[in-house]
Amino acid sequence: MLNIYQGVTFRKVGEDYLAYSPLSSETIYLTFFAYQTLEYIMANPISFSELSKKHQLYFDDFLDDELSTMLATTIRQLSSRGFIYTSSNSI
Amino acid sequence: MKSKGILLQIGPFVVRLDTSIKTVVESVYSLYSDYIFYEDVPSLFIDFYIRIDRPNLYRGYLRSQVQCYIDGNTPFKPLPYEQAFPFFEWGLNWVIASHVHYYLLVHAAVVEKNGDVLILCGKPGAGKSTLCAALASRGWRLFSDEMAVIDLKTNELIPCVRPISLKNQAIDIISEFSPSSIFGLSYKDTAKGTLSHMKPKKEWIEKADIRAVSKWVVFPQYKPDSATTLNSVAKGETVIELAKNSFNYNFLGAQGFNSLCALVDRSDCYRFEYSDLGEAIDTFDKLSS
Amino acid sequence: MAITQTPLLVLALINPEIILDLTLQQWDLLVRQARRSGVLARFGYILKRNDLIDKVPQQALKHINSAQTYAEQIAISLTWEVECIQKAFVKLELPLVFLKGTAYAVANNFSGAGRVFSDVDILVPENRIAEVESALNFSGWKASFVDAYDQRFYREWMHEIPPMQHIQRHTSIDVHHNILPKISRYCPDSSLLLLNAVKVSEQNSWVLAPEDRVIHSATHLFHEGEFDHGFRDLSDLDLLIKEFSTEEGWWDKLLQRAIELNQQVPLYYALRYTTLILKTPVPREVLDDCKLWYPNGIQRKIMDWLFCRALMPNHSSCEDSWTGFARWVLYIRSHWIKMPVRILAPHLCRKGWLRLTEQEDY
Repeated sequence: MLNIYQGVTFRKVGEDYLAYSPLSSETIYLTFFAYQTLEYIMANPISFSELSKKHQLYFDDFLDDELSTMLATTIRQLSSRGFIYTSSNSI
Repeated sequence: MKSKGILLQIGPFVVRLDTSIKTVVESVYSLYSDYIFYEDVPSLFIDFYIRIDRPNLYRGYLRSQVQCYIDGNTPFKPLPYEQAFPFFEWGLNWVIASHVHYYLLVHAAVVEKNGDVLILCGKPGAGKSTLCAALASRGWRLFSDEMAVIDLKTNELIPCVRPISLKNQAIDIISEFSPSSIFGLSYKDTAKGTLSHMKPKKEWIEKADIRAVSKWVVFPQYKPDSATTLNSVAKGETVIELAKNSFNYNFLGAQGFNSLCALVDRSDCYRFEYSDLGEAIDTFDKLSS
Repeated sequence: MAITQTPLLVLALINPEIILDLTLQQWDLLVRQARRSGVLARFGYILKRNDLIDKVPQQALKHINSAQTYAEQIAISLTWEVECIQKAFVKLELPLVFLKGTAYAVANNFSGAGRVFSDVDILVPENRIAEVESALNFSGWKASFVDAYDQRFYREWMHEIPPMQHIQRHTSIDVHHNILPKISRYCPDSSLLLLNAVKVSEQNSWVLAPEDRVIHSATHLFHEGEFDHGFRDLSDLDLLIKEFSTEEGWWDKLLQRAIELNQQVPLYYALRYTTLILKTPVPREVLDDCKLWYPNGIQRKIMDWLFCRALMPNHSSCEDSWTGFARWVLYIRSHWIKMPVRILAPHLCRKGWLRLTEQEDY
């Protein structure tokens, strides 16, 4: 399950999306896709497949493969930079 | 000279300066003459203790040096004796930047007009101090030439008025631009060249408790012979650049991020290039009208 | 014995209620003593725990909040650093045992709250040092530059390898294989420490057992040559002892363990000076038992004179004219007890030379 670290905060500023992690002390730009990803994870811990499904509703002009790759890359980036993590609970 | 203790209110801070160096005492009494001074009494809480003195026998006299002590210790290397007063100014900047984590601090000049604050943020040499001094001589109220002090809860800018430090050509430029301004001594051969301080106006000190919110965030760049241009800059970029110029953003966690985003959100953000000081003032006066 | 006037900070830690009667001028001094000692944030938490935080005047509270904001951010950054180190350790299949301040934080000891760390300290078996170094290298830590003398000094004589720095995060990690240098006279068997370590989270996070944590803190402080953090370390001991001694039979365990690890004298000092300076509640019988480990009455009095000065908060208001001398004597002593003479003399000469020629800071 994907979770967001406590204290991570993200928002829209003007036309841009920014996020901050108190763990890594990084302030980063987010794509809209990454912003939505964080919003979904913030609402509830969520699995990769659930997250994929949610994105598919919005980004319906993407192919499944493309979306999957984009999501995997986004998750990898957000994890390695201290924004989200994977927990072992399975629901 | 026997060591003298001077206690005064500088912006939101009560500062105690101890020194046995005559030129430091004279400069403080001259440039800070309109400030509130205190006696050391049981009912007074002093925020910062700074001592400016010769370090010890060898360094102090044989090598003619001066040292700045923060509450008894020093994080600095000694400087030439002649730079004793600027050392107080630099020491005060250091102690605020290192200890004050109840405000967000950004390396920027801040001026205000009609209740709206203009934040000028730029690298050393970009011309922000010159621009700040010029605006302050033309009806803008000075909050600070060095440090934007931001209340984390309300996002207001808090005045922290100090003598404006000007370097090299800026000293002559501003002396000409504002003949009625009073300057302290000139210090040659500092790390930043020749340095002098412009005395703050009495009205700025009298309004030291009056805060205001940000309306404009501008990144100025002096460029010889350039046209005066004001170009919008994206807010995301503004947040990131202000964060890079902050002394303590990295220690404030999410509070710092949220505060900076809120401030930028409510502000118009620009990059500003100029070579003519008069035109530069006009540009900002127009913005504020 | 002690310096003539007990510092305000010491009085306030012994009995926080004294803050109710302080003038603003006294608060100003208290804040400065606490800040210089590195316990300002901790002091705020102690006041909170005693329901006294609302009685702190605004002028002082700002500074306490400031220190706590800073310390809290350091603590959050530390959790990330711990995760990064855990990732580096995955392939090693080795327990990740934290020491000192990091240990108090990961174990959620009260002494961890408000404490500021500069390095992470870990303990690994000596025979796995090379693998650990390699795994850390692979994950972005590089040995900080040390000259050939210091390389040899660390690897042949000390209980740790030279510090490693992460190339991106610029954080530092100290990898220890013991709690005292190999060459010191009372070097304990570190496998005893590792065997007794306790796991504190689902992830690979271990700390020394409570009694070992106290003994290590004591060993570190009373072999130390520099006392910038001496008062804070003494306060660490005071808080650790208060937290752990509520367990039934803990005092016997502590005394027994000191014997097993050859650390009777450091523990004697720890209990002597926490009770003397901070009035830590230690049972009379325990103190009497420890005294037997240090029978020389004259030497005890000399050490009291030295430590009661050196362990004061590192602020001019907490010193007398002998404090500097006391710290200097203990500096020499710390090298004496850590190294045999054949290594000590040239080492001290070298350090002295480096400082005189300003190649090294005081």
